Amino acid sequence: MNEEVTAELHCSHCDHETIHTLVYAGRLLVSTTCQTCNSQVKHEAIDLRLHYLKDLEHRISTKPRRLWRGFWSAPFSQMVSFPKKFMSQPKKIWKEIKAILGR
Amino acid sequence: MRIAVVVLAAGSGTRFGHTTNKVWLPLSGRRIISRSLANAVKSFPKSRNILVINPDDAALAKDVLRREARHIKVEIVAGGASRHESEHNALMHLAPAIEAGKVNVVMIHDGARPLATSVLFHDIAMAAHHHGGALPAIVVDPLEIDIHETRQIVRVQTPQAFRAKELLEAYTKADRDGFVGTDTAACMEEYFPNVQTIAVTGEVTNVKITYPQDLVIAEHVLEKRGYKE
Repeated sequence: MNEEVTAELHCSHCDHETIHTLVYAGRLLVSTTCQTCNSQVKHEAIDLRLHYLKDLEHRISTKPRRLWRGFWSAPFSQMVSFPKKFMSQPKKIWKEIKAILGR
Repeated sequence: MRIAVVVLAAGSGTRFGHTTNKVWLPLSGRRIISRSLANAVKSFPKSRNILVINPDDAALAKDVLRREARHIKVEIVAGGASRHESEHNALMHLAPAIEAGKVNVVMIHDGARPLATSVLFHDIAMAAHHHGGALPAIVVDPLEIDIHETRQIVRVQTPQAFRAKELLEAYTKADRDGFVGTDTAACMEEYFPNVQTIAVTGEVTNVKITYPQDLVIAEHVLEKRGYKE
């Protein structure tokens, strides 16, 4: 997952609910930006990199279990989607790393 | 105890394909709402589980529940314009079961509180079953509010649980009178002041996702818990 999503959150600067843009790298939130006043909340850069490495380690170590659970619950759709998902992993991880380093 | 768990997620809906309701945000790999729901039902294998959503989010809810909460049997109810109205809709949905005695405790939880643990849900349900009502509360230093404040102040959280028949009656009466409560306990207090509502010690980590920084805090809490709850 490397994506931008929008949601209403309370902006401390505007002091009311505004639309925010949230950027994720993998499972981690990289930053949130208020679309009204542009104020940003970010993880500390070093903290985020360490956090990302730990999270990546956790994702890799739990992947076999999650894959197995997926195959168990919906075998056909998992078999169909597995090759595409597998091939897209390097690109996905690269995008996540770029999001974390390039912030 | 025959319990119904109601999780509220009926904030503003999907606009132009973009989610605006924070309960649908990802939090450490899963949506906030599926974490709230999973924790809420963990202690109650036979509960009826109600998810109250904005009708605009119906397609999103169906997709998220299929991917992240496949093992939980969830009934979806359309929410209203306010929290009170959403609670009312959920209770009307449960009314036949409550009147038939198939549900005797209703627990209401805010979907934007994904870190309430299954232990807290269990304690609240048990206290409500025995005493009539229960809610989690955290004692606040009154000086943080006002330097002249001397009364003891508590910060109330969710889940809040009450005996089902009284709760249904309270919301039916509130609907008739046009009363709108700020939370479940407020409505119960208005119509059943004699029902004992027990304050159970809340959890400091049971934050309501409100500010952007709450998401960062929640990520850290989940990491410390090994992403278990």
